[in-house]
Amino acid sequence: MKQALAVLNDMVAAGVIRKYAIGGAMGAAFYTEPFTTFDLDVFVVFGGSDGVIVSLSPVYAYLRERDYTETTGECVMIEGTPVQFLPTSPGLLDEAMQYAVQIDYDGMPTWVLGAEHLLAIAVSTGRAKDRMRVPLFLESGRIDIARLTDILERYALLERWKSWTQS
Amino acid sequence: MDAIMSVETEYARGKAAHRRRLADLPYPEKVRIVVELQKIAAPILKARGVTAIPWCLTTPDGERNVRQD
Repeated sequence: MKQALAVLNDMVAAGVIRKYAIGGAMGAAFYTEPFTTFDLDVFVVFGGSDGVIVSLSPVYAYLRERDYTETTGECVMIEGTPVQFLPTSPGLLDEAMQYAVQIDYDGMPTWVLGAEHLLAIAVSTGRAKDRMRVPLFLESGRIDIARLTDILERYALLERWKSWTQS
Repeated sequence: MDAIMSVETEYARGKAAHRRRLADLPYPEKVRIVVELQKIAAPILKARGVTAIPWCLTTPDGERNVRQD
């Protein structure tokens, strides 16, 4: 995974993407106990693109030029790690990227979405596997409930959150 | 009855503490555990017809890390 992160950092340095942050299950696992997942979800922001339609083509072209052509499902295999690239969109995802946290992975700088934003995205996505992560987050002791409530309120997710946590 | 409740409480407390300890592990260590979990889950998923390949974490410096099926 370290080498995959190095490739992502190279993409930022080359200007292909402006910023990236780990989200999804591997983002959650930064804060919670580890659990099974098979792909690395990476949210990406492109520089200077204010348009409505965002294309991941530059990312795939960059990877193709470096012989990262193997795919599995929606992921590109980068140094043994299947990476799924997810463009952000205005609203919750853009805000989550703004508050992404820089961490050190075995000497490699990288970025992970904040715990509260990861939870809010999970609530927004609303799949069964997202719901299963809620107790892991809460038991980790890493969640600022006031901050989470503020995010959930602003993105009209509080009702779903309550239905998830009060049943 | 009190004794049973006490054992239950202690068990729940111990489990929560264990989970907290796991959550506090360094991220690279968590990733190593995730890969071990992948190795356990992959054959089970394969039996169900789902292709899931554990990640390759160890590669000598300077070498490309490619999938080993």
